[in-house]
Parts: sequence; C-alpha cells; structure tokens
Amino acid sequence: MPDDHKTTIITRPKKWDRAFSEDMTLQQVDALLTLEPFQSIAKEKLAKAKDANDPAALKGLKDILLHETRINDYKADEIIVRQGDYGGSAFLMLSGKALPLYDIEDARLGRAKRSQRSLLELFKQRWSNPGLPEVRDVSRYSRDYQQNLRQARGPVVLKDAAKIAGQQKITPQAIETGTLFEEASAIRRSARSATIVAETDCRLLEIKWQGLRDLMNYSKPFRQQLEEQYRERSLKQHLRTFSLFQKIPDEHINAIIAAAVFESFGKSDWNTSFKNLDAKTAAERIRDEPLIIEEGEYANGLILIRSGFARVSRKYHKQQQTLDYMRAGDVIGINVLMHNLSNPNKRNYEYSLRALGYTDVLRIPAPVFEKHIVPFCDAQALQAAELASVVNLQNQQSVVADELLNRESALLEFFVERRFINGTKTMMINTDRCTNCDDCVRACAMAHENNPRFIRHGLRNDKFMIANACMHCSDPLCMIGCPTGAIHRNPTGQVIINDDTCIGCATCANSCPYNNIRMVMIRDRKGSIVLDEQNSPIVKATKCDLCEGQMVAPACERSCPHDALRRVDIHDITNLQEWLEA
Amino acid sequence: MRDLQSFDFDKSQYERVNQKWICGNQSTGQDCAKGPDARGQCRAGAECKPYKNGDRWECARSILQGGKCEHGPQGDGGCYHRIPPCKPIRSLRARRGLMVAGVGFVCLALAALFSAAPLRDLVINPGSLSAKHSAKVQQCDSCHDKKTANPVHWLGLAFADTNQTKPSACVNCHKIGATAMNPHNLDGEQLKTIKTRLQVSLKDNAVQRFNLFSDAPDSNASGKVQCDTCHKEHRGKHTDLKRVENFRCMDCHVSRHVDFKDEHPEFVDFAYSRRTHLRFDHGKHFEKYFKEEKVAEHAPESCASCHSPDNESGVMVSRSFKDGCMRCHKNDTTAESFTEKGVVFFRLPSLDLDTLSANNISIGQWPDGLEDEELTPMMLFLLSSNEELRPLLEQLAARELNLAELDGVPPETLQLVGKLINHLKDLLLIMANQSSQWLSLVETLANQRLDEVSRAAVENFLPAQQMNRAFAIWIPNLSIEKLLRNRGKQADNKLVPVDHELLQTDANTVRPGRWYVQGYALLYRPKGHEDEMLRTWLEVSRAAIMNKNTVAMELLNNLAHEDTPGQCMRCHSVDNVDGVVSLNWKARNLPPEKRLFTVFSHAPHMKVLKADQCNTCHNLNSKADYAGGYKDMNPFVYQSNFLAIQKQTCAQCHSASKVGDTCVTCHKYHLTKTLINGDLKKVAAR
Amino acid sequence: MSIRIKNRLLRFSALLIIALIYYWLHQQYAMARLEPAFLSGWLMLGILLLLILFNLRKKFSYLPLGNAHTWAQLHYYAGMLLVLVFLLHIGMRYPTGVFENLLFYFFVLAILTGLYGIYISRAFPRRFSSRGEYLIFERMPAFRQALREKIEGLVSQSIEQLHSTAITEFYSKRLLPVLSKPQNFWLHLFNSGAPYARWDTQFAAVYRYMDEKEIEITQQIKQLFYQKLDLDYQYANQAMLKYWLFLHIPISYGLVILVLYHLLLTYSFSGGL
Repeated sequence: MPDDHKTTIITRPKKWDRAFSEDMTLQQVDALLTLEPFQSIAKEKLAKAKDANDPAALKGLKDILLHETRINDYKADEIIVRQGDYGGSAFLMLSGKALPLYDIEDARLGRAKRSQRSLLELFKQRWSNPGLPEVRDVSRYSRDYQQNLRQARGPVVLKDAAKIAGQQKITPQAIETGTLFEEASAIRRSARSATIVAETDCRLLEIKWQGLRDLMNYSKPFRQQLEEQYRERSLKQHLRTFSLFQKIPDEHINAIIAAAVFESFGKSDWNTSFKNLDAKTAAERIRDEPLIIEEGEYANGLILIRSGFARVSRKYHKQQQTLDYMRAGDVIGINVLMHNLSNPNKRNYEYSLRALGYTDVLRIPAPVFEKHIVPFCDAQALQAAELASVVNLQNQQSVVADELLNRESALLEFFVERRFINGTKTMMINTDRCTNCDDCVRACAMAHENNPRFIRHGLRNDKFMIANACMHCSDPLCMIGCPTGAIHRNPTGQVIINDDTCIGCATCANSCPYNNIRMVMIRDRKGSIVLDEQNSPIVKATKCDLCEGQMVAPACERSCPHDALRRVDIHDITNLQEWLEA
Repeated sequence: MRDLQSFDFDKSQYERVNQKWICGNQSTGQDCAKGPDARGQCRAGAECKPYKNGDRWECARSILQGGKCEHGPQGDGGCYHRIPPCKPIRSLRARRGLMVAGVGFVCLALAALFSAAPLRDLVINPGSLSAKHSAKVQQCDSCHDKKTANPVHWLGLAFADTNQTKPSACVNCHKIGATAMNPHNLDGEQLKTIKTRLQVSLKDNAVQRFNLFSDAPDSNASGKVQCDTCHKEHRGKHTDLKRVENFRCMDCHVSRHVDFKDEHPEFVDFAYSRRTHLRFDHGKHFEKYFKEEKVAEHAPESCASCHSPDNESGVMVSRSFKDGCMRCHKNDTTAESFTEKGVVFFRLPSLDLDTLSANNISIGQWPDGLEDEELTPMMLFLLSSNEELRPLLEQLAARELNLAELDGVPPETLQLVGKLINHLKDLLLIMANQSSQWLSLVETLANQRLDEVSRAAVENFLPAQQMNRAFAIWIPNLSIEKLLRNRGKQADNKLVPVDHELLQTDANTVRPGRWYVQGYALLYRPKGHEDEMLRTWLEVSRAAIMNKNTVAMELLNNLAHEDTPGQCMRCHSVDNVDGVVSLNWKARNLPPEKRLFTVFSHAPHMKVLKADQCNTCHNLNSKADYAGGYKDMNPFVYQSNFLAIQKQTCAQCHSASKVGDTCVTCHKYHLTKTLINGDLKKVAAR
Repeated sequence: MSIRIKNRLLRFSALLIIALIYYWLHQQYAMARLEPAFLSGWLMLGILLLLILFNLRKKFSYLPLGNAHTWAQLHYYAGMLLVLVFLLHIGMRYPTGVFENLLFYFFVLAILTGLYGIYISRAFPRRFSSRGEYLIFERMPAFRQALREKIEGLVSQSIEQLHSTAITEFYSKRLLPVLSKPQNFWLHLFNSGAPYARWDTQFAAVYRYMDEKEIEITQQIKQLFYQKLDLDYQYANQAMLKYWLFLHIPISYGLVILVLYHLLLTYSFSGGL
C-alpha cells in the first residue's frame, strides 16, 4: 500500500510559539511596566484586582509585552519607518529623538525591489519545481532558520535628516521619549503617514498591531488615550495627505480639526455579516448599509472619507441606483456648498452616501468650509477635488461607462454590492474571450512551485467573472484575525502570507469575504503529507502573492493568449477602458 | 436554478490542471486529498492515521477533510474511512503530450523508411522527369552525384559546397561545347561584342538593373548559367522543358522586355540589314519596267509569282533566273548587244624593243605593228605566278610603267622586263601545249584545289589548234627560242612583220561559249547564265585575293565590271567585308536554325496571310537609291527597296493573349560560335 | 470604428506589406539565376520555428518573454504569412512527388486546424455565458454525477412516498441511459436546440400518465435534467476548444520533422548549403 511512505512529523505551530523577538526577557518586560503607558495600564488593572500583589493579575499584560513587542536600537540617521510602507506595528520611543519626514524620494529610502531568489534559480523553476502539489522544505519552519533570516536584513540610513526637515512644507515636530507613534497606521492597516528617521541614537519598543489590538481590548483607558492622541496628532498629517488640505495654513487646519465632526459607520469586521449577503435582495442590502448623508437633505457640510468605502447612489424608480463609490481621501458636497454660497436658492445633497462595511468620515460644516478652506483654494482646485472622487460616468460616452452604469448588467452595482471595490488587483476575466485554456492557472502554478494560487471560477456578472484570486484589498480584512502576523503587507501594499510563520488556523481564510484564501495540506519532498505529533496534517493558508519575487508579474495576466484576464482596480477607469476596447 | 458549484474556500480546492496525474475518482467527485504520486500510483489508504493519546485512539482527520469523525477510530487504532482506491489517469495535457511524441515518432520512422533502398527512388523523387528524359534515365545518380545513392552520405553532401546535379549530366548528351555554362554558350570576348552591338543597334544602354542577389551579369557570368536555370526538371512527364519564362532573360538583358508590345525596343532596319545579295531593284522594276508594254506579258502579278515559302526550311525562295529574269534578260548574259562579243583574256602588249636591244637584253622575236597595246588583267594575273615579277606587275597594273616606252628606265627594271617577256613566252608555250603545269600553276595562284567543274573549265581553257595558229603567226620562233633559252643561248631581238588579214575575225559569227582571235588578242564569248568559265576565273581571282595576290584584284575588277561581256556581276554582287571577299551567287535566305539571335520563319506566317498580303510587312520604298548600294563592295552602305518592318506590325499578333510574345518565341538562347563570328565581322564593319 | 477593429486592420495591412516585400525579393532572386524555392524555403522554416516558439513560450511563462497575447497575435499573422509564402514555394502547383505529397498534406492539415482553432476560440467563449452554468472542464463529470444522484434521490423519494411507477419507468427507460455520459456532442457543437425540443416532448408525454404529486416531482427532475443538458452543452464546446489542439500541435511538430527531412533531401541532391 503506497501509504507506507515514511511520513514527516513536526510540532504543530501555535500562536506565540515564536515570539516577535527571541531576545525579549521578563526582566525587560518588568522594566517596561515602569514606563507609560504600561504603568497606568498596570495600575488600573491592579486596582481592579482583588489582591494587588497577585502576580497573576498582570499576566495578560506581561504576556502581550513578552510576545508581541520587541526592543530595537537605532543609530542616528537610521530609518525607522518609511512613508507609504504597510507596517504591522506601532512604536514607543524609550529613549532618543526621531523626526517624521514627508515625501522623500524612494531612492533615498533605499527602496530597491529585490528578489529573494537568484536569476538562475528563477530560470530553473521549470525543472526545479517539485512534481507534486504543496511540497515544502520543512526545515524552514525551524527556529534557527528564522533567526538567520532576521540577521540577513540590514538597516537603511538617511543622512542629515535635520537639513531635510528644514526644507519640508510643514516643519515636523520631533518625536520625544515616551511617545507612542505610528499606532494609527498599525491599527488601520493603512500606509505609514510619514518617514521617521532616528535623529539621535534611540531605543524603541516595537509593538505588533496584534499586540496593540490586544492591549486596547485589555484596557479601556488605553483605548481612549489612543483615540484622543490620534485626533490631535496623526489626524493633521492624515489630512495633509489629501489634496484638498495641502495648501491650507496650520492654524486653519487646527481650526478645521477642532470644528470637524468625526464619525465612524459600520463594524470593522464587516466581513462576518457580509457572508450571508445572498440571503437578501439588492434593496435590502442597500437599506442595511448605514446612511451617511441622504439625497435631498439639507447640505450642511462636506464629507471626507478618511478610511473605508461609501456607496454614492441616487433614487431611481422605486430603488437606489449606484453611481459611484468613494474611497479614503474622496470628498463630496463641495459643488453643492459652492453653489449655496453664491446663490440665494439653496440646493440639497444630490446623492445618498452609505457606508460600505466600516467607514471613517470627517464632516466639515458649511461655515468652516467657507471660512477655512474656500479662501485658500481657487474654484478649479475645489471643483477638481470633487470631480476627482465622484466620476460622472452617467453622462460619459465610453465603453467603460456603458459597462459600469448604463447597461442592464450594471457592473458597478455588482462591484459595490460584492465589495470588489476593495480590490486593487482584482482578477477580472472576460468570459466572452476566455477559452478556458487554463494557461493562466498553469503559469501561476509554474511561478509558485507547481501550485496554482487561484481558482478560475467565481461570481459572474454578465460577461465578467471575478475569479477567486486575492484582490490585494486596500482594506485587507484577512489581516484582522491573524494571530501571528504571518499575513502582512509588503512595502508595495500587496498582501502576502509568510508561509514560515503561518500556523494554519484558517482565520484569514474565514475572514476573507471573497473566499480568496485557500487552506492546503503540505507535503514533504517525498510527497507524503506532513503531520503533527497528533498525526493531524499540517495545513497552511495560501493565496495569490502577485508573483512576488518573480521576474515578471503577474504571471496569470501575462500568460493569457486572448487578453481575457486582467488584474484590475475598478477605480482605475482609464486602465479598464483600455482593456475593454482592446 | 441553484448553482452546481460553490466558491467557498473550504468547499472548492485549487484545480491543479498542471498535475500530470489526476485521481481516478475525480469523475465521481470522490477524489481524495492525497492524490496520486509522481509516478501515477494511487496513494489511497485511510483518511487519517489515528493518534494514540494515552490508552485511547483519537481521530486525526484534518479540518480540510471535515475534521475529526464522530465515531472515531477502530478499537485497534485503524481508521474506518478507507479511501476507495482508484486508477489514476493522465491529465488532458499529459495525454496531448503523449500524442505529440507519438506523431513525432511516426514522422521520424517514415523519414527512415523513405531513405531505405526499396522505396527511395520512388518516394523521395520530387516528381517524374519530362517524357524524353524519363525514357532514358532511371537512377537518381545518373544525373545527381553518385554519393546520393547512399543515405549515409546525404548529410555530408548537404554541407559540401558543390553542385550535386552534375552539369556534365546534360552536356553528355546535349553537345554544346566547352562554354556550355556561359551565357548563350559564348566566351567573354564574344559576349562583350554582343553587348556593344546591343548598345549600338538597339540603343540599349546596358546598365545593370538593381538586383539584390546577382553580380553584374553578361561577360562576368561565364560558367554561371546552369542548364537548370531555365530548364526545370522533376515537374512531371508532361512539362515542356523548352518553356522559358521571360524574366529568365531579364537578369542580363537589363531593359525589361517582358511585354513585347510596350517594352521591347523598336526594330532597326529589320529584315533589310544589308544590301541584297542579288541586285534586283524592286523599286525600278515595279515602278518602271513592268509598266512598259513590251514586257507586259512577262510582268509578275504579285510577289507570289516570284517568291514562295519552302515548306521544310520555311524560308522564302525566289524564282530561278531561267523561269524569272531570263524572260527579259536572256541576251544580256551572251553579250548579244555588244560590238565586241568576247571577254579579252589575252593580248600581246606593244614593246620598246630598241631600248631593250640597246641594253642588250635578249627577248627574241616580237611582232611588228602593235599599236600600244597593254597587258590584260588576266595576263598580269597569270604572270604573277612568278614571285620575282610581282613588283614589276604591280607597277604595270598601276600604269606607272609602259612597256612601249622604256628609255630612261633603270637597267635593273629593264632586266626584269626582259625576264617578264621571256616568262610570258614560256606561259604561251605551257598554254599551247596544254601541259599539266598549267593546272598546277592556276591552283598555286588560287592557293586551293579547284572543284571538278572549275578544273574542267581551266583545262580546256584554250582550244589548242586556234592557239598554235595564233602563236605561229605572232611569234614564229616561239619554241626555238625556248630551246635556246634552255641552252643558255641568246636569241637576237627582232621585230617580225605580220599579215594582218590572217588575224581578223567577224565577232558576229562567233557562237556563245566559243573563243576567237582578234588581232593580237584572244577573246571568249560567254555562253549564257551560269557560265563555268567566267565563274571559275572569278572564283580563282577571289581565292587569289584571299591569298594576298596583289594583282588578282585587277582581274576580279575586270571580270566583275558591268560592261564585261556576260555581265555576271551586274546582278551577282561582290562583298568585301574587311578583306573577306565573297561572290554572292545566290540570294541570301538562311533557314531559321542558321539565323543568329532572331528566329523567323515565313512558312507559319504565310499560313495566316493570303498570297497578296505580303505588304502586311513588306512595303516598297520608292525614294530609296537602291543602285547606290552597289557602287563598291561594302554591303552595308546601302538603301533598301523596302521600308524597315516596324515592331508594331509583329505586335498585332504577337501578344501574350494572341500567339504569344515570350522572348524565346523569336530569340534563341543557344548560339553556335561559327555563326556568331561571321555575324560579328559584319557588325564590326558597320 | 472600434479600436479593436482598427488594430486588426493595422495588423492585416502590415501583413500585406510584408507579403508584397517578400514577393519582390522572390522575383529578384529568380532573376538572379537563383532558385527562389530556396529563399521561400528558408523563410518558411524561419516562420515555422517562430510559430513553434509560441508553444515553447507557454512552457516558460515566468520568463520576461513578452506577454502571451502579443505572441498569440504574432502566431496568427505569421501563420497567414506562411500560407502565402507556401503558395509561392510550391509555385501554385500541386506537388508531384510522393514524399512531397505527404509534406503537402501535413502542411495543409496544420493550417486548417489552425484556422479552425482561431475560429472557435473567437466564437465559442460567448456560448459559455449564454447557456448553463460556467464550470471548470475537469469538474464537469463530478457535477454530472451529482445531478444524477439528485435525480435518483427524487426518484426513490417518489417510490417511497407515491409508489409511483410512471416516474420509475420513465427514469429507468429514458433518463438512466443518458445520465452518466455526456450526450449530443455534435448537436451542441452546432448550437442546436434539438435536444431540448426532444426532451420537452418526452416530458410532456409522461405527464399524461401522472397525478399532480408525480408531476410535481417530475418537474423537479426535469429541472435537474435540463441542468444536465446545459452541462453537456458546456462540455461539448469546452471539449472542442481543448481537442482541436490535439490535432494542431502534434501535426505541427510532425510537420517540422518532415520539413527538416525535406531540407536534408533538397540540399544533398542539389548542391550544398
């Protein structure tokens, strides 16, 4: 019986199996407890605890610190985080000084796309790929292997940061000891808002976003403190990143922030509710989406999407017709307000705006807009700001407009409804061209050690199929639950699973609303399935990585002989247009 | 309608179309998680491998297979869920791969089979040979390289830079000569001349047309024109190897003549490229003579009365003298209209005997009463058989010296004159005695053996008794003097009185073809058309001229003169093309295969034209000065009776759509050297 | 005019120009007292290899060799050029030799299958979205099996609950024989509605002898069964899109081998390379 292959057995990987850093010690943890914010957290906890000297009282906190944090030393001029990177962690300045800088050109940030594999290795793939599915080099899972990997990465340096700081539009204020920073991007899984460079030698505590999340759940005050801090510090930077606020002087920005209303709609883990979408009718689905502004209500301010998505719709017959959707940075309402400023007969909102999943918005009241924004922007700029968001497709004469809105198929409705708007590299297949030759699948497998990383099936709307391939969402829900941070974003924003640290808990697969992550049983080189001590097969989460580290990417798109497959961002109309016409 | 498939991550696994083997149970949807191994073996076994926890067994099934089973493992730690074993099958791709390999193999096998002896000649033959060849040739290697018979050598041959179709293969049977592979089978010299000719006559400024692949052609292309350039074999039994597409010629012939009507250059004096061999002035005859009523009954109705195509050679032949010209020109050939009916062949010259005697040069007797007569061209010619006398004869021919006034002439010349007279007397004796020396003397002069007719003509050159009689009257001691000269004695110079009555003949009584004496001369009356005597001596003089005899031309001119009785050369022109003298006894009508570049045959044309339609091509040119063309012996200074034929005329029928206008319709590629040489001389003479 | 059409015209005119240029070269070659078959021959070999490269490129999808769509286009147009050169090569004459006939037929087959391929890969995909569920080819048998089981379930249910003989008979006589295998391959290929029409009547016929309950179940069966018909339709068309390559590719590779043999013969019998 072929079953008598000698099976490989390894210990099943578990959460905190492998701490963030191997050299984090309990002594260090205790030392940390004497510092803010942990001191106050500890106090608060101990206060709650029946017995103040019970060591168990702080176990949770200590565990988090032990496993989810590590202490990093940076020499002066070393880069701590790069603007635009997707970092999974926040930082606490233990000692030293750092400077936040903006818009440094990539070259100086030492951003060079490097492939992990040598050209020769890449070329050999055809022959060197294993013949069987999901074969792994099990030795990679061993501790010391990981160790070596970490050593391999060296620091990157940015000289005379201070001088650069001088030239910046807004002079950055230095990050002092004791400040917690880059927590916003960590929590929101969004891009780093600034490049932070060590001004002096400094020591930092790096906290993984999982750890941060745990801490927030662990203590209410800490959560509040964070949110407050966000409002006063990172929000300004955040606003700066939007074109509308670039030219406005500091004091006005502050005024705006003071007056602006912050609102969040929906739940951050909306995917759970999204799963039973099919049960509802289109109308119900829309009705369930939290309303941000309603068509016809008095236009009392302009809305800026800070994160998440919102559906722009308008009454059509008895229901709503989706005209567009908004992403972080998009603004709506400017036109109406401008009109109302000059004309006696006031106008109301022309669209309804609904939160898709979890949406942060900033509502800037009309007077504030008039007082603090209008003076500093010329009409065109404002117009542009609005147009940039709401693409007026309905009066456009183009193939893409036709596909998206005007035809009965109403592709846009489909995209919004199914939340494919989230994708930046959605695999779209034109079934009128696809001959099912599976060249894409084969090419994909070729680039992933003989394993396809998507399935050529999926939801269809008229002639467009959205295949089950990772869309590399701008808001990657899959990352929420990951206990180990194995699923992360690389500097270019692609969502990658680190096979070495994946424990196969299937959380990501479950939380992906699009069913684009697949769990697989892994094999050893001999091809027999790898088991744990309990003889239960080891599984790993797998998905499209956009051929990271390959010479050409993505293989699927490039290998389609009929130009039937594209990785698209529905927001990138011009790109879509080109494809539909070609 | 409910969907068959689910996209849920835990319900639909990756479709591994890239695998070579797929589980045999896939068709039933029962494919197992393990799947076949690399060699296509089924690995089905239990779904899990239960784990012994302390003393009880626990199910270890993966969440992907539905997690732990409710009832757990068997008591002995075995698993209840056996996977139904299958016979793994190859994926579509794998099967296609096999098919490719299969077909590839079959093709290789075929190639091998075809190379094998029994099939080879039949199978790899790209097509049977043309009818004639296939009758003679069986094996590939009778034309191709011997090695080709054995496939082992093929690769070698393929890379050896040789021409495997041996040119000799063709030339063995088709004898074209050493220069077979040269353009037109000619050597570089001739090619150059042709090129010049083209430039001169066709105004064809032979500039090499741009061609990516070929070097400058013509003279450089020596040995480069393989037979198979034009003659393509292996095109089936019924292919006509002689069919040659126009563009084959276009490589060297730079002006494109693909279309005859528009691209072929205009003709230059086509068909009348020289004066006619026989001098017949169509203009005069049709415009003037035939209109006179005295010849009315003889006048021809149409061209056909005199010209008709010869059916095998296809050339036009003209009526003979007898059935044509003679109707009016009967008497012209017998000097009927002349007062003196004969050609003066022989005459004693008057001689300044006193001077000779004064310088005591002995010549013996000489008749008295000669009124300054001169030596006839015939005599000058015959005397030239003595090399020593040549210079003197030339002087005489040029009238620089007169035998009748010799005083003041340098003594050595007088010595020569003496010799001349004595030689003359010897000559008389030879002639009179009809001795064999006579014939040899003539043949040495002609520098060739004469044909029988001419020999006969020469041998009975003179009727003996008439001659003896004449000589006896002129110089009674002729033979005695000879004896004395032989003995080295000198006969004293003496003028002999002669009775003139004896030497008178009435020319009118002399019948054609007869000799007669008139004073100190002997004359011959031509007997009519085709008179051997005159013809022979014309030919002899021609031959002598060719033999560098300087006085022979004098004789030829004399005999060929219009007013010489017989008037042969009034119609039969004499050509002198840079030293080559030819007597045109016949009208020039070459059979097609004797023509040079342009092949024309009247016969097929006459089939489509009626007898009175010659003027489709031939039209009289009344203005032409035809006679002017015969003032001298150069045949290329002339004016034709007819207007040159225009290309347009031919093009009426010769077009691709009608009777064809390919180059080879009228031109031939293969030229023989002899022909070209002759022709090129004439070219040079232009 | 849509950009798609515009591009197509552009490519075609490019093809035409190249063809004309080649024709000119061909003439030049012939006029230079050379055998143009050699020129066209080598060109054909070159094109042939280019066409084969398309297949090889797929095997190295991960190398930066330009994207497959461009290659496909190149493949189509080079193929058409090949046809033109081929006609010149054989001088518009039907080949006379035995081997040359074989070569000729291989070539013609390769071209014809190729053209058919172009046609169906343009025409068939639309069918997949038009009728039935869009499925992965390899999974169809499993789904057919599933449908069969569902139907059998309904049948046995009908027996248990209604003791229906009509359904059992209809199932065993009519449905069972056709359930396990794909049917009407060619009809589906030619997009015929006949199978549906036929079964409409079949079902209509059996209703006569059933009571409401039976009809109810039979209608469910019909629905499932028509799903199977659609499945067969999808199967037939997808299958053809895969099987034509089973002719085109092997023949093409065979052709290359024969061509090389032809090359060897040509040169060994008519002067070296």
